[in-house]
Amino acid sequence: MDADAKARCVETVKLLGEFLDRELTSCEVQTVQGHLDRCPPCLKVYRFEERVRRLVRVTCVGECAPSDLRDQILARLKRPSIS
Amino acid sequence: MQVVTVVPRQGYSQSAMTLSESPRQPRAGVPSEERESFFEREVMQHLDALYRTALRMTRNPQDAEDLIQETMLRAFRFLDRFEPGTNLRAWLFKILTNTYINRYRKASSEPRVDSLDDSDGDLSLYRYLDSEAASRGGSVEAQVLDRFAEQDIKTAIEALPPQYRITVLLADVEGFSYNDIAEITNVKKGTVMSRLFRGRRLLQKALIDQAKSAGFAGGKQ
Repeated sequence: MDADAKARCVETVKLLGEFLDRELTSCEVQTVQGHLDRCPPCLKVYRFEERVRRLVRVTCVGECAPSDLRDQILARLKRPSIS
Repeated sequence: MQVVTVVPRQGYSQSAMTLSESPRQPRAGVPSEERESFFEREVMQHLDALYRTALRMTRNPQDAEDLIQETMLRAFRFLDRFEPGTNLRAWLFKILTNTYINRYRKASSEPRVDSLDDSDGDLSLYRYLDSEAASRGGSVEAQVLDRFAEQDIKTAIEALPPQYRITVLLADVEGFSYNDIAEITNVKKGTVMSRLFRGRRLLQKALIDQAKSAGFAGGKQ
């Protein structure tokens, strides 16, 4: 890998987080997208990062508040001392 | 986005209270006669999201419930400061974060993460793993990601230093923008970005270490 190509990979990998977060400018998005289209190793990194992120999300989103917590909160607010 | 009146960037200790101490805004918040119905109708919709974040923050259900009780109580009290039409979800997460920090973070107990080794990180951990997996005739996906149980992921998240953990959760689980997270956690956007970058890398590292100790690709040689 020549130095320029490596620099482009390093730069792309650095921006992947923001790319996935949709926080890049449209110009930056094009640059990253263009590189991913041409560079299978970076595309694999992208897929890995996306996948880890999805795992985190799916794992945490599945958890709900205990059913009695809602009632406890509302009951507590209705006590006159609160407001 | 101006979720609440500006609070000082430094010193979390009084930040939730600053909400109540700040001068009255000319525009009214939720009128007191509508407070209860607004709370039940609008605020309680966010209970599950707040709870799951509290659970990862405190790392145990009882503390999470206590934290949520206190958060909701504060939210109720501060509702006259909330401007209907602005981002209620971000406003509530800001109260949650402030409450958590006030309650659980002892002064100057913030773990140092400067020691985190970034030198291996030019091309992400993945590249290293990928070549290691390929040399054994497999893929990272099959050897690392597919074998994680939910509990492994939770453990890895909970092992992150608090500020990194909160930032990663707000972004990856709750989907907040960098600007929202900056507002919620009282830091600059640049700090949000570096916390996310390092937090995610720490998380990947933790997952990979777990996979290795569980016998990644037949164990370390």
